[in-house]
Amino acid sequence: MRRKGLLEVSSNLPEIYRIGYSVSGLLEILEDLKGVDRDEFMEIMRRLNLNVKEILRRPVFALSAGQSALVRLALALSSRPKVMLIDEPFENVDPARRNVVVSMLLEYGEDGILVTHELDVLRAFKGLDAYLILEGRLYGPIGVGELLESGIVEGEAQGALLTVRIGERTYSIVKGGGVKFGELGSLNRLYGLLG
Amino acid sequence: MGLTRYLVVRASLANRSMWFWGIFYSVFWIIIGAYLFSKGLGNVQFGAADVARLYMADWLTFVAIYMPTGLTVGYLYVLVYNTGAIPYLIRFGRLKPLKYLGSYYVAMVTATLILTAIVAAIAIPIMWSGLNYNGLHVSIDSLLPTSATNALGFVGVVVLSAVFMTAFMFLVFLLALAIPKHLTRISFIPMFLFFIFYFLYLYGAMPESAIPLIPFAGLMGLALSTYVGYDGVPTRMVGEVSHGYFIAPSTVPAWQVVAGTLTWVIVLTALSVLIIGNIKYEPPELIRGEA
Repeated sequence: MRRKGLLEVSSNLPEIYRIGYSVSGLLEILEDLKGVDRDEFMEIMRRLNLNVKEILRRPVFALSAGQSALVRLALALSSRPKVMLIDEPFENVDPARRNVVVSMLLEYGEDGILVTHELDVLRAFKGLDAYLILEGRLYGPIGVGELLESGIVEGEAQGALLTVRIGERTYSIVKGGGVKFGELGSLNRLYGLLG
Repeated sequence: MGLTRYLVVRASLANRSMWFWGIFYSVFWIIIGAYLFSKGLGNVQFGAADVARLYMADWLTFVAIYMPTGLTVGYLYVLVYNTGAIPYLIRFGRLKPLKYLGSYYVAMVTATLILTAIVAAIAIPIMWSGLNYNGLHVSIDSLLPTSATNALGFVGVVVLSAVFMTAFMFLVFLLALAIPKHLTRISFIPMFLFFIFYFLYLYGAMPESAIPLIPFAGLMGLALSTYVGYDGVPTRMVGEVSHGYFIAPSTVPAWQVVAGTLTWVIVLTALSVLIIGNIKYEPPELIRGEA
């Protein structure tokens, strides 16, 4: 059982990590102000197979997009939060590290919100609820497992799990029919396929 | 302590710009002051030690009040770039507005003391060498504060100037939040004001009423008076020399300057607590003028 930190909510949004110039400076500040555990951070970075010494020396703005995503996630998880608000943790992350990110998201925290476009990683979260945001509108909840086994068809279908509006048209999410979410890979492809 | 340590070590002492614009810039002008500007002092016939001490005090006053304005430039950038992090860390972290403010106060005082001490340690032997070179033959003791108490008093003024500059910085921060794309110009406001008042004080006489009301001037006079051992804060920085005699300027009571400065600090700090508690995120694109 992992020891729970005092500071319950953590996020990986980039704007909340602009408080130090270098990654090591950022870590020093967050150890004090967010209860980040340095050893936990190092362990997470090791699991992500990142060169910690090199990354610690770097200015935050000089990290690559993928490194930035992983470092921010590592810092968010290192305070051992109860609740996680994680935004696009898989963006710009290579496939090998994505699996590590998935397993860490399942290990840490008790509750939270994960925002992603990446449908192929959702298989690991089948037991959770999903909400869809399409063109600024929120739809759901729908079970992740159900969503991955469902497809999207045009029009209002009877027995639809969800009915959504994209552009001027109405679509239904139905079990077994249409363009399957589990095969899309990314939610971004949906707009292209629906035309 | 993490944020304070970060501001003192990484943002100040390990900051190459601070070493150049803080220490090197100050030492450069002290060398000029020692060997070039002091040429006329060789004509002083009486009170040479007093003249030397006053001249040294003038230059160290420049350093003591200039140094925190240099630190302000860097700290303002940190403040403005932190606007996303601070509300998050107040809500979901251990940060409180007073703790955030306190970190900057402690950091500014610590960094100012360290940097001023470094410059003073370099400046005193340089000045002694320059004054003797130009014919004002004095011992190095003549360049030190009048007594140990006066030395402590001078350190106290350095602390007070750092405290005031931190309080003033948060006022300038308000302006930076309103027009973030002018952050670079705005961050130099304390330094601009310092130079304006420094030269007014150096080449003219300040009205007695201005000295307690304007901390930029009052702190310079207070630093000078504690170093040299005047009873009050002089209304001009450079004493007049007439027929070989040194003429001391008129003075304002020191307590008035301290009270005036502390009033500014209290009011600005109270305002700062409100500012920190209500910070809204400023995207870096706005700061860089890209939005």
